[in-house]
Amino acid sequence: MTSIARLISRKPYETQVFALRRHWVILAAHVFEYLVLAAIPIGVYVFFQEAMPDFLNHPTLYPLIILTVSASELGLLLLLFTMFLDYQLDLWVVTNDRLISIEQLGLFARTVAELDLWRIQDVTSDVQGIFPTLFGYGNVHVQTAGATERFILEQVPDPYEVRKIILDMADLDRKFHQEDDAIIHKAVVGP
Amino acid sequence: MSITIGAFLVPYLLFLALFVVGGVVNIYHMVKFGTYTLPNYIALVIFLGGAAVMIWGTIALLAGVEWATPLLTIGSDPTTTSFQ
Repeated sequence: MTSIARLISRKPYETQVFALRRHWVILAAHVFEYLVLAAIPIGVYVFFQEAMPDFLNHPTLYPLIILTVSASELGLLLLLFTMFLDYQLDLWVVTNDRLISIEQLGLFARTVAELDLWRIQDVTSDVQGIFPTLFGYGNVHVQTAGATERFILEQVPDPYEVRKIILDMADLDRKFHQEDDAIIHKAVVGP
Repeated sequence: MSITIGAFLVPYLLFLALFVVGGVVNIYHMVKFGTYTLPNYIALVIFLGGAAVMIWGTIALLAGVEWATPLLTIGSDPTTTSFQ
């Protein structure tokens, strides 16, 4: 059993429709940024080695440069790992009964929220910008009857399809709840 | 009394301690909240392997450094330091 399964105990009649993370392009962009930043200290070191070798032979400056480059590379590696975990631990799960949002906020904060599908009133998807349009990712906003309660599935792939599926599942769940209410009403009031 | 270039190692080791704490917290999050998938294992191997290579590289590059070289001598002529 995964830890996510432990976080969201599944009801007996519940089946998972889909689970979403941010689009892979978001992760790839962060990795690219990391590689560029990681190349800078190494590039500076190589530059000094080629252009000013005496500078690197200095008994004091040489260890200082090596320790600085090493610390910056290790720091970047830790940042990359943290960013990957942030990407990997943010998850939206849609079942035939509810929408669950699991969000990792930095290293020490985590939010798990859920929403009954039958309460959903409006679902909006938006794709804004060149890269989201090219790679087909965007945000899906889920609005319930409450004025402020709102879920946002951020930078998910194929937001139009996700919107359509959530709306279809919400309709199905609403019908199921209406039938349930009718049965209860019949049992209490009589035919 | 003189301060040697070995003093550079103090902030570096402090940074390494922070790096280890950050790494352990991240791995804890991965084990506790993550799914047991191939990308997670690959990321863990890259992180641990990358850190090992960088620390090993640093040790190898600094192998010949004379850490007892004076950086600053307190109470003496500043022109006698290694920054001459």
